[in-house]
Amino acid sequence: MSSDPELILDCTDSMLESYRRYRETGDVEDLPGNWKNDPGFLESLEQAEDAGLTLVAGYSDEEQAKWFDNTSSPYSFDAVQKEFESLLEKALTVEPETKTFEVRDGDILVPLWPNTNTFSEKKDNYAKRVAIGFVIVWLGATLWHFTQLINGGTYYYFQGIMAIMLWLFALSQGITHINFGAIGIEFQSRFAGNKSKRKFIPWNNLTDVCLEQSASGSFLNWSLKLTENGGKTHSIKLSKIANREQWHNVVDALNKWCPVHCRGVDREIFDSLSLNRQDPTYTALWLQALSAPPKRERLQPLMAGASLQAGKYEVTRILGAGGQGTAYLAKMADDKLVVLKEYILPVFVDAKVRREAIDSFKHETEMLKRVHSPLIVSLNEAFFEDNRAYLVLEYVDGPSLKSAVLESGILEEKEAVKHALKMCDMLNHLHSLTPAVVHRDFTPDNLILTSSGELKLIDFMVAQEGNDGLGGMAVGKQAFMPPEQLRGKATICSDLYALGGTIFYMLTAQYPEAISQSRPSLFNEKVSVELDDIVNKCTALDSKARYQNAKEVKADLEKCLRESVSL
Amino acid sequence: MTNFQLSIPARTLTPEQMRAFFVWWALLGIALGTGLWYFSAEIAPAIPFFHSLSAGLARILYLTGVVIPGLFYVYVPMRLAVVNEHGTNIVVNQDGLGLPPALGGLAHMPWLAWSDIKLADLYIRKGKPAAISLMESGGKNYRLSIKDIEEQDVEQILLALEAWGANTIWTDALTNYRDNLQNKIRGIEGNSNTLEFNDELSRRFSATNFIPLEPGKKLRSGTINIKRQMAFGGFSAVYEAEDAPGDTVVMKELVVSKFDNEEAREKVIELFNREAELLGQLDHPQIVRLKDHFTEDGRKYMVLEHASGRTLRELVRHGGPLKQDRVIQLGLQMAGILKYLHERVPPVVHRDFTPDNLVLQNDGTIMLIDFGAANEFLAEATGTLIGKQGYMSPEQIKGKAEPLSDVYSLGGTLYFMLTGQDPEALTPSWLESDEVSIALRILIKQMTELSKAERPQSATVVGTHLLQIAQTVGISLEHFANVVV
Repeated sequence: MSSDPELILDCTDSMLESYRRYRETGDVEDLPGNWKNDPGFLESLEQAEDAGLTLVAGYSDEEQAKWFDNTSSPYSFDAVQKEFESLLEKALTVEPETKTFEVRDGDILVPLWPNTNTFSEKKDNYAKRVAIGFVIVWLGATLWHFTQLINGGTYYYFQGIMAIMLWLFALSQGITHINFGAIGIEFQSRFAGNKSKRKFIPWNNLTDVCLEQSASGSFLNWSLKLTENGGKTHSIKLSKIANREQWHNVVDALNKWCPVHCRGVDREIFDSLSLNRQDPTYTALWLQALSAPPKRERLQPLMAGASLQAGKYEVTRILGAGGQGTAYLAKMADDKLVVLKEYILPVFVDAKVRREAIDSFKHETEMLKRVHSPLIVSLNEAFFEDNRAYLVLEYVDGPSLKSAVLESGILEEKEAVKHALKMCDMLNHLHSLTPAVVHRDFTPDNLILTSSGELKLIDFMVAQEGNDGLGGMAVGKQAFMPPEQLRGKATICSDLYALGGTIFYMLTAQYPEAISQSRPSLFNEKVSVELDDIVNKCTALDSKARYQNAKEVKADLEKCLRESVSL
Repeated sequence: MTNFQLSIPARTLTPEQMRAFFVWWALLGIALGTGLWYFSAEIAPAIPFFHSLSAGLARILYLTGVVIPGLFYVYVPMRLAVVNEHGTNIVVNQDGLGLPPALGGLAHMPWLAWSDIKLADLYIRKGKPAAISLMESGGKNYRLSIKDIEEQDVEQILLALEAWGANTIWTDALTNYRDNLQNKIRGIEGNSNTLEFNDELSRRFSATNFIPLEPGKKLRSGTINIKRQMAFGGFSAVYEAEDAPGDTVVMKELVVSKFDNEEAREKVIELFNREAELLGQLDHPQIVRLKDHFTEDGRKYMVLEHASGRTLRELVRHGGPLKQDRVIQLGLQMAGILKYLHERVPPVVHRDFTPDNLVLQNDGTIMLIDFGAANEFLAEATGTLIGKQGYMSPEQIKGKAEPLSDVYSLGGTLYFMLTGQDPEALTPSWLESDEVSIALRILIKQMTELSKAERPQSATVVGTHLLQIAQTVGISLEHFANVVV
């Protein structure tokens, strides 16, 4: 032993020899296979030697040979092979199990349609009885044959029938379950407490797993294709799996035991392949609302302390009541404040009316989701309870613009213009969506002024999607409705009319006169000429004479602001 | 509710039926078998045709004629037993629908994905709904028999189809069936007999702030019994009720307790009381009578006489636009009513003279059933106005209603009766029609002029014009008693 530090390798003497030869001559032929293919390893050996380490073989060839030859050693080749074979045998033999069968721990059993149960419930088993009946007849025929009562063709006829029938019957069962286990995939035929294995694919035999589209394009006719070593393929139609939960099981099993070969098979496929899937939360809500029983639990409005959604929300007080419903202030578990907007869903009316009510609620939730913006109140959640629908909105701390003006009086022009600029931003945001959203109720009641001077827009109940003015019935507050909105044909410019009316209100603390062009200067002398003209243009009766979008209004307002500063 | 899965038991074959089937099948088999055996053993050899067959051919004949059908015969009951064993549930989940075999069928139907169901229809047998028919994208049709499923479960299936079958087209038959089923399950009479249109229903029933009274509720110390909800919206509702067995009345309700603004609440109460007082003072056979008014539980009620018949809106929507003579006759009656109201001291302006508030009774007379005064303030107070702008004159929209506003509304109503369409808001109504005399058309246009000065200046004037038109057109006016011109 030299005094140099040693590096003991996990190899035999001869392997080390072949390495030394390689270093001298560059001859790679004799190198052990795994070293040959690993240039990184060879390089590290070289570095070790160059650094001064001595390479030492871990054991001699004789020692190694002893291991492999010693059949009593658990690591001997024979021993390992024997074990594998016995495992395989176990997996391949049919174990007729009775009544209940346990799925081995870790195995995933997937029932195929039309078996929806994992365990076949033992019901009145006619098939068995019928089979037994025929067997009895068969035995009877054999008996009679021996007693010469019937002979010749008739007997053979019976024999043939029975045999073929039983075979056919067994065959016709079809594959009812797929069991994914540690060893492989087993296609089973379970029936009335009996299990028979039809096909077995060990994991090592699997070369490819992928999804194959079907010719008809119909989603559930896609199939999961398993390719075996040797080219044989097995297809499992998705419509047989039929259920996203079972599909998750399948994918989990595949990921668990054969990750390498899984291509293009993921959990979410059911979601992505299903076309036009609506938002599941709202679908569930809608389903719940429509199928609710007519009995109402609560006939009185919610009182302080009332709780909803099993305690998730606790009502603190009523914030206000409008024609469409009541708004409550509520507290959540972490003392977070929210606003609950309550809608009463009619119960004792025709299904069409109920649907209409639920749809209009759904419409508002969808609107609020779409128009997401810091200038607009945000929607946290929507739920349905006791034949009432609730919107959970962010709590905006402050009075409505209407109350604010009633309380503190007319606003200064500068302040009014600043608010008006924000209103233009709001409208611009709504109008630039695709499709555009026409609010139709842009009034001081629906604007909240926070303590920090922020404005937020609430209430989208009558908002209309689309700028083509096909909103149907006329809705809104008279004083803020331009003629075309009264005719049921609201457009973006209708919101601008309402904007004009709102600015008017800020400057005069009165609603403008309905269907007329307004001038706030007639009621408030301090209003500048520029601002007066802006309001006037906004409230022109002919929509073509107004500003055509909120950006134009904003431009003029900004000009107005600059002018007032310079004054 | 992300894992929605329903399993609905549906009947296939009961054990007794299975037993019966097997017995009959077996008996038939024995009969056939015996017959065949007899035939092959006794009769066939006698027939020269069979005799002449070679042995090989005979065997083939035997195989195809006897053995194979025999196998099939035996296979059928086995398969049936297996299928029944598999369970007879309809499975509904987010992804699709699994149907059991039809009664006695041999195989389950394949799983249907919602996205594959293109058309849903109702299959009717012997006049009664028997099955839901689903057509999938490949063109195949599947039938789900509903006879043996509970009604609630049928509703669930239809709801699931509606929720997740975004691409599915429903036939009207199925839609009506679904609505009627939902009504039936909840014990609601629904509108199946009056075939109300959707938009009409939304006019009558819009969002409320309060919970409307339930049918069966008793008021006024049990003397009034609410039968059904006729309309509601905002803070008010209208009910059909009984104040003595068999004596129908109409209840108008105003939920004052819901007003959070003191000022608004007082104002609305004042208006309500005023309306009640006014109605109490009016005495006209064609204006609904007020029987009583009271307050209960923070809500104010008016008990009104019930007019039996159909509103003009219903009449025209279901029967189509009316003929000119009819319209003139009815118009004269309406003018008479307005004349009465406007000649009161002080004049009473109705404010809501629309086809929804006029009922044609069985004897051919018109009855005015609603007074809009409180309604209009309510609209202002709650802020949102729904519907009838077509009948409101510009000055009324501005809040300055006067008798000429009622003339405007009457013009709009006449237009509606002749065309079946609501008049367009803020526009004089002109109709093009060969069947309506030009004079009548001009009159309607004048009545709906935006400028007050251009309208006929009173209901009396309108009546006079109508009479003149009637004479020129040649209508006999003997049936009308009440027009005082």
